[in-house]
Amino acid sequence: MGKNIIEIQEKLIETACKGNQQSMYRLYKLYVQTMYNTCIRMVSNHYDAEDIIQESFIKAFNNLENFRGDSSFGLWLKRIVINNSITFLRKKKYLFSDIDDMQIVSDDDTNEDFPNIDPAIVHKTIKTLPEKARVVLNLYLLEGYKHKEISNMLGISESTSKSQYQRAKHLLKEKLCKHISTL
Amino acid sequence: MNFNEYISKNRHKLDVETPNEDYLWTGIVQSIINKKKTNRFMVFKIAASIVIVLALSVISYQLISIRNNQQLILANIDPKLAKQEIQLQKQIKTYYKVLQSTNYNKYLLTNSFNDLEYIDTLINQYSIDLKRNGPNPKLINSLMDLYYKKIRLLDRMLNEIEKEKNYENSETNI
Repeated sequence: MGKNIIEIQEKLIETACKGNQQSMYRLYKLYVQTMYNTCIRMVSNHYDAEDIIQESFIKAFNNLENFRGDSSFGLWLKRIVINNSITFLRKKKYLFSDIDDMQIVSDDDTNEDFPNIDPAIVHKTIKTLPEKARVVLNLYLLEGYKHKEISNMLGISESTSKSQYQRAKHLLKEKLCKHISTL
Repeated sequence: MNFNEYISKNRHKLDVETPNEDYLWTGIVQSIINKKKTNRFMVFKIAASIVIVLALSVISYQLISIRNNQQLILANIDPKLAKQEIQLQKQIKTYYKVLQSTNYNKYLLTNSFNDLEYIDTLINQYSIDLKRNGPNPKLINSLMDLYYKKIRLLDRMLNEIEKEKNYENSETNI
């Protein structure tokens, strides 16, 4: 992110912190699409994602004074969105801990050539993955969390996180290959 | 290009869905405005509660301190006077009971409460003087006089309350 953009953002955060709605709106416009896509890949439902996004922005704006600038505003906001998504899934009685018996599948794609598919199709296919595997895949592959962090966030073991990720990746590749073969 | 490379290369292109931004923003902004209103109202409510609690505490303190001062002073001096003192104190006690049972306006009676306090201070002072210097007819008369004054003052306070009540009723009738 350019220095100018960072400075503008800092000013926006500062004024939003004082209750300036215009600044809040500009911050919202900057991040809403990214946050929405992250969220919908986690919860896989358009209505739930909208609720979570609203809740997350409200939470962020009401707690702006707690934003210390250790990370970028986007990362801070994304953490809120992800935490809210996980809380939502937990409320749905989605238990992360019952997947400990998964076998770790070895990562076998290091040399495999992957076709250049339209990213929109990949996004759409991720949403069709089984919930538990999908969440881990999103957190690890797309949001850059480590398995240790994921295990803490979801209350599962590190090995479960790894095995779920391998499973999700395997399923995703399988589905994408099927899609290509139908073209 | 393997799968991981594909994802890292196309990560930002995966954010393809466009939310209904205006709809989402309306909800967000409404919630923020409502929270601000609620916060202001909460502050007002807390402030009002503190004022009420303080006012009640002051009134209770005044009533308790006035009551506590009503100890028999003349019992060791003259049985007849002591009997009279008991009767006067009973009367004062009754007045206080009636006063407490009315929903009186404390601002209306501020001066009267100050006067009552002043009378009690004098009664205390006379009591100390009597204990210290022995029975002094002038002092005893003054003490009895203070009791009567206190009764008259309490009576006047009740009248004030009654008058205020009647005035409010007549205003409501209009």
